[in-house]
Amino acid sequence: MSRTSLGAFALAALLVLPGCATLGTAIKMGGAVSGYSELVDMGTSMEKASREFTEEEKYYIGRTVAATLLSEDPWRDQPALTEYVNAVGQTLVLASPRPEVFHGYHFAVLNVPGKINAYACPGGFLFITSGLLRLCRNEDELAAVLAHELAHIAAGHPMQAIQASHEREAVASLVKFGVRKAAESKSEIGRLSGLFDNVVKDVVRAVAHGYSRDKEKEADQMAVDILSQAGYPPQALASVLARMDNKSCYHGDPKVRAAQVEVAIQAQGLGEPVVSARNQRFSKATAGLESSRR
Amino acid sequence: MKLRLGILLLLFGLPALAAAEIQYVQVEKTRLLTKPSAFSSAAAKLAYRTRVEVLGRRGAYVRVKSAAGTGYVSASALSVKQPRFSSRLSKEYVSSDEVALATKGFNAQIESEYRRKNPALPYAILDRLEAKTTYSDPLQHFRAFRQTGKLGEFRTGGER
Repeated sequence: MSRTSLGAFALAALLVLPGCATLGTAIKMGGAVSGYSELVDMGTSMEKASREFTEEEKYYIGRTVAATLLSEDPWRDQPALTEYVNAVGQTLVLASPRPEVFHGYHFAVLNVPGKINAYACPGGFLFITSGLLRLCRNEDELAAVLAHELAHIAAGHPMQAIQASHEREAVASLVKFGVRKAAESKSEIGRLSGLFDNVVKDVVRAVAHGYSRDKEKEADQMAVDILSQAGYPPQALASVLARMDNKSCYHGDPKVRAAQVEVAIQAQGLGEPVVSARNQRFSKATAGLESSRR
Repeated sequence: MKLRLGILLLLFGLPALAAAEIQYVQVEKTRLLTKPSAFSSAAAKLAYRTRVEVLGRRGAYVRVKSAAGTGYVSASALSVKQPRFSSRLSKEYVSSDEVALATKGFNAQIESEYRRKNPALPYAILDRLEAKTTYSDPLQHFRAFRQTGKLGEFRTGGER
């Protein structure tokens, strides 16, 4: 098949089928059926242009990001506390714009009393430090912190932290890897592992040190909606932010963020009642942290 | 002849398929809901890579037709692209080479290689955490929690 014929063929196909990935796949299939390797290569190149990380890949990136965070800050393995934080978290997940991720959401407390932070990893691992949990005065404020982290995942912020060059290189290699024969792919695994390392480091940096002010504001606004939909008073986000200081790991001045949240709440006329049963179970679940609560 | 067959498949076969909007389940499993609400009862569970036909949309939910029946699925559980075989879920592959070919991505095999190079990372603790916090049906598991706390479908004003 001449180069001109191939070009005409591709142009005709472009007019018929919308969507670059679909077209790339179609050309690859056509090439495979007809036995023309040029078509397979062309289709692969077109697929490459539209390839993005799958939900399963986000899950595996998230697992390694989570393992990296756990290597710094240990899990507080206290079954009743873990079950309680997951109950609050899973309640919020139902109200999240992204209620489904590859292997579900997992919430945990990290045992670092001196650190006030929370982390959202791709794939659905969410951590809160015992320092921040201690700062929360009730379940509503804990829910506010977790809703903010869920919002980062719903908005795709952790994956957006991957440097464009690392993403391009990883995606290109994954596509090439996908069409390799088994024997060739074996030697490719070591290289992919290196690219995986670049991607994970980009995400860890963002997850651990926070995002831009715009992204934090976006997550705050989304958290107000999640809280309201779940039945928690969104005012709790403003109240917990107002007690943080600039030394905390949260990006942006927490006082400014609290004021912005108040504006969003007033604009939407949102309000939910405080329920005493929630305060009681929060006190019970976090009793071990109580001695140093502020 | 073979070239003609390839071109015919491209020009006529695929546009015919495109008449119905097809999507695929991109999470390990998702609930096929009777109503477009997170608190709805489930008629069935749909597995990873299940093919569904899109019948319409209601907010964050997609009305679909599947082999298991018709109902609603969260839009976040669906993808327009068919996901590849999962290294985590596929049982039919016996060798690592077969897994590599079938799954093609950042997967359990790449993680395994990464773990070998970074033995200090506490994946074992992560596995334990994941096992303890994986719920086969979170909606039912935490129903009493929501009821006591007047949350979700039990919130003031009820389900939205």
